[in-house]
Amino acid sequence: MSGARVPDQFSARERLSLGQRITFGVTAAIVIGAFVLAPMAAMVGVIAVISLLYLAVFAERLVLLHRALRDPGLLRVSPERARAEPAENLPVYTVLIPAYREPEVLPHLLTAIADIEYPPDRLDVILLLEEDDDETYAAALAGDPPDYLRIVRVPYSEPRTKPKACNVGLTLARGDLVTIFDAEDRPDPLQLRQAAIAFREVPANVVCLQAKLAYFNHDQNLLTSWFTTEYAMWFDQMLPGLVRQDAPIPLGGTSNHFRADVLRDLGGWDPFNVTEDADLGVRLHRRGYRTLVLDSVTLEEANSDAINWLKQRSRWYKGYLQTWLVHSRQPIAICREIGVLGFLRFNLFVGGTPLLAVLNPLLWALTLMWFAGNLPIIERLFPTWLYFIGLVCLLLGNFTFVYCNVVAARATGIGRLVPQAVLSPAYWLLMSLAATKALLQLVIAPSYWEKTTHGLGAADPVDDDVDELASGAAAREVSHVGV
Amino acid sequence: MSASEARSEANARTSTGTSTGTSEDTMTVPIQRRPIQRRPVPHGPAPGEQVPGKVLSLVGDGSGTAAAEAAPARSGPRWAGLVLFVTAAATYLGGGVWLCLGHDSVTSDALSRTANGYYTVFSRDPHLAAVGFVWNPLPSLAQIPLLPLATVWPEFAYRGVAAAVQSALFMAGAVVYFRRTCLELGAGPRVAWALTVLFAVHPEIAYYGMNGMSEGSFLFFLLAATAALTRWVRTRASNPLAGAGLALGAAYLTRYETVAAGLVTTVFVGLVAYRRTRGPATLRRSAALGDMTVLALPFVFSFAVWAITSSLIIDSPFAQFTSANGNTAQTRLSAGGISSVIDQPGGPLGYMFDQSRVLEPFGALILAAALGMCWRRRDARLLAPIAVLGGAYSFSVAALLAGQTFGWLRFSITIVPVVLLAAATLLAHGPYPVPTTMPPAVRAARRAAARTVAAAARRRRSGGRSRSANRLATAGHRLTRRYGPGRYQHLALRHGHLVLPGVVLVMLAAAGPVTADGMLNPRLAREESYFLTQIFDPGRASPEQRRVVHRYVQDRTLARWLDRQRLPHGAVLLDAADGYEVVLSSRRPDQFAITPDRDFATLLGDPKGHRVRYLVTRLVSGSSPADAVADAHPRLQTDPAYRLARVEPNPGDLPAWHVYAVR
Repeated sequence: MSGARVPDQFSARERLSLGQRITFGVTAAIVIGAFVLAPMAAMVGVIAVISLLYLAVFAERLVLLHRALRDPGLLRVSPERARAEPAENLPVYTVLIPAYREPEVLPHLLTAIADIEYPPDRLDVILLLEEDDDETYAAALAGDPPDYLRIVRVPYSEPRTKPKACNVGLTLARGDLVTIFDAEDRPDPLQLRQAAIAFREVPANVVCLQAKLAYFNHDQNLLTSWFTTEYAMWFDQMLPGLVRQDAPIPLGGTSNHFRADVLRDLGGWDPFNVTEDADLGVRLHRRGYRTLVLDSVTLEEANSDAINWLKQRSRWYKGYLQTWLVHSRQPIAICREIGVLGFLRFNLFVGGTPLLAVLNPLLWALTLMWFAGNLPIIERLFPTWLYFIGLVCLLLGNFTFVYCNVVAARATGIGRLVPQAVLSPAYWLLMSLAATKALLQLVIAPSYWEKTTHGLGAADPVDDDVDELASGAAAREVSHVGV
Repeated sequence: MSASEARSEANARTSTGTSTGTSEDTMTVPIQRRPIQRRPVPHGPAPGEQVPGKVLSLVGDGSGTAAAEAAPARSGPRWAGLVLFVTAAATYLGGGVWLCLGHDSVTSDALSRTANGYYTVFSRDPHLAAVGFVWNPLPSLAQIPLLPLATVWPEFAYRGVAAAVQSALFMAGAVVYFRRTCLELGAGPRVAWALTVLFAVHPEIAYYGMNGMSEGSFLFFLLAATAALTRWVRTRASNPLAGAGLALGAAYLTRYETVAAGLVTTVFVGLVAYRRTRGPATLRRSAALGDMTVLALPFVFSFAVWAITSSLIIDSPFAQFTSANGNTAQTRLSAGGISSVIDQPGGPLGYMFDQSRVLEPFGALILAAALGMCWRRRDARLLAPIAVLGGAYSFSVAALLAGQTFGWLRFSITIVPVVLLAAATLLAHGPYPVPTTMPPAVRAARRAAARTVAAAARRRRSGGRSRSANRLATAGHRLTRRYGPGRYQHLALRHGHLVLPGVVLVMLAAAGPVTADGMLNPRLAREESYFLTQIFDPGRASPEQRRVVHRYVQDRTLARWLDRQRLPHGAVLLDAADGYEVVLSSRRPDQFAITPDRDFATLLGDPKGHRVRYLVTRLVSGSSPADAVADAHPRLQTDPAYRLARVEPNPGDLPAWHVYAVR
């Protein structure tokens, strides 16, 4: 099966280019040399670089926040407007649903598909299963799938990743528009109509719409409530800011809608990148295409188990690092494409996020040592100017990040999340663990895809106080089973 | 092409459309769905072509977006705020420069805050903690970026210009937020402008915008919180609530009264959130708790950071109350002075009531009327300013009752915006009622006319048409024409809607002369009258009030005397809590070893061993309750190791500096 293929220079198949190897080698040599020759000065230098990095991330975050709050610029299509659109105006829409060994979520999936309000003759749902995944295949057949659902068994080949399956789906897609849902997702039933209408009204260079993601199991435990807050923050405070800033948008794993022709032209997803979505967002941007945020919610299942969460998060971080390395291979080319400032921001955002998560514990330890021991070595590590930067990051930076979480939690309308958001520094600790794991894994097994287990408890949203969407979906579940 | 289309086109043309628009556009522009021409771009647009962000946010049905709801109430052009800010700042700064350079009238609090900022940059041991922990740091920190100007223009720091810049900018910002709150409360643009002008030119507000003290920054953050909180009450959006929380957090770094404002406001937010959440009690409780957390977190954070930093560096979390130079110590020292003022019929509360009448003579009436109107309309918006500003005021009341403060007039300054904002509520919803009953004067005139006509008729009946009866009848008819029911109704219909705003504005404007006069009243405005009587009414000034404008002459001559000797670093020991002007006016600030220096205690313990040449000290007084040098060396006069080298000639109102040389 030939078709879409990501050009080699944009693929994470190769970890480092020759130039990157040389750059890293030389940098490492300089740092080691400095530590040997003048250890104290080298330490101060390293801390200075780290502190400036933090300061830059903090400043960037404030800018994003300001832009996002000032004018979120979401694409809104009202439900009435979406429903009123005559069927003949709607394009054929392909929905790709990659799944692997998750027969237990199949009933939910079939219900969610049945709920989609779109003319069946213009709907093309492709369930992508691996060749050896008999159990999910059997469950899908047993669920009496509708006519517009095609089950495609992806022939065995390495790497066995979601993006590879999606590329297969893309070559088979009949639609003018394509989207991806995960098997356990519960998209807003009107989302396809909304996206189709929005695509018609936005300029042609907008080739991707990212719907908002939220979790239906936010009240399962502390982890899921933190996760929910984190997503709320991402979609309310950061993503709109990135859009407003005209920065590359790292796409989320599901509910991103594409113009199919452009996606094929770009070569689809990179099967070697474990966050192929984030990578695709950057690639789109580099080609001059743009992504906007569609104000429609897809409910997902938040990871409720710490170990499972760590696996998922470390995959995300590894993918960010891969994406960062891939797109830094030709710094001059990318600077020409997205501007020097855009490239710096890309570094901060895509590379900086996992790297700072690795560094965080180190600095927390330094802070604790400073408070507890009043060690003279720490005073020598922080000359006055650096001390001020450190102080700003420690006090204002940390406060701002906690407070952003708190405000995002409040904005969800779920009051209970707010006090838990105050504890988000504990969540950051988990992030640091995941980032460390990701960094190690990037070296050992770059393309290894750690599958996230779904269906851990909280199968159905019950007694949801605010998420009418979720409870609506649950209610329909009862009436539509078997349709 | 409609206006919105033109705007869309304009945005589409800008290459960085993402940053050109603001949310106000989406709110005010009637949103129209408009087919956007698809450009034939088979393989994507040219690199660098960007998305016109503005056009896209217009996609959709435009039904009130969250952003639009959360947007500030706005009327009038956007530059209005900027013009207001610049005008107010320039006026306050002009007044401040006139006071400090023209009359050398600088308050000690203003100068010592400047000095606290100055030490962090120009002292012998520059470090951030030198800003000190007794007084809230923000007014000092805000001046640090300005202070390098003092290297080329020394008067900028030591004559109080830097402090005046600080207070002028903050108070001008407060004026802008005041106007914004008026609009949030529903006042029309003209009413908002009228009230804003009354606020800005109120003598107490104007004076504290000019004199470099911390009231400007305090009111700035309180009014920023007020504007945001009022918006939250109106829209229920989370961002204004966060804005109010952040403003209160910053306000704590300007004044301790914020503690009460924060507590009262948190409770207020909890009650409002609980009342308007629908659903079971647990849900309402968690909503209330969530909103209270958003509001209180920044405030709790600044409170905790300030207390922790303070206890790490000077081993005392609340130096304001424990330090020898703090407020508590100062009040203890001059408790006799206060009690003589407030120990009269009415007690402290009566005293504060009198002060409130100086600031807003009709305040209680306007506030009661506005609250009544809020109750009738079931509109809780006015309660937001009352929670924030009234909360701060409650701290002043409680502190005076506890004998912890001086009962300065400025501690009641929040009364001014509260009353003016109550008036904004009162005048919020036009058209104003037309008076249906005639005012007594009109009624009396009508009665007189009727009587005159009746008398003329009587005369006519009794004695025929005499000339006097004719004259009476004519006069009566003239009166009737002027004050008759038809004429009156005509007038009432035409101008009656101006009666209510007119009366309210006149009552508020009365505060101007009343406060101006009251600020020279030595009983109710002890601080203001002390500094201002000599300037505005020299005939009434007491001997101390005449000397206060020469307060810092001795500090400056002492600094010059020391400068001339070209002393080495750390040669002069001085308690900065009282000797700030000596350091500020010296061209060689690093010759002083001052209290914020990290090695001050060492030098104080053994001056000779550390090559200290002079110890500078003076008798303790009301404004300087402790002197570290005198405390450490209580017997300087008799100690043979020291010699009295100089007593500074002193035309001012404070004790003279004594300089002891180390033998």
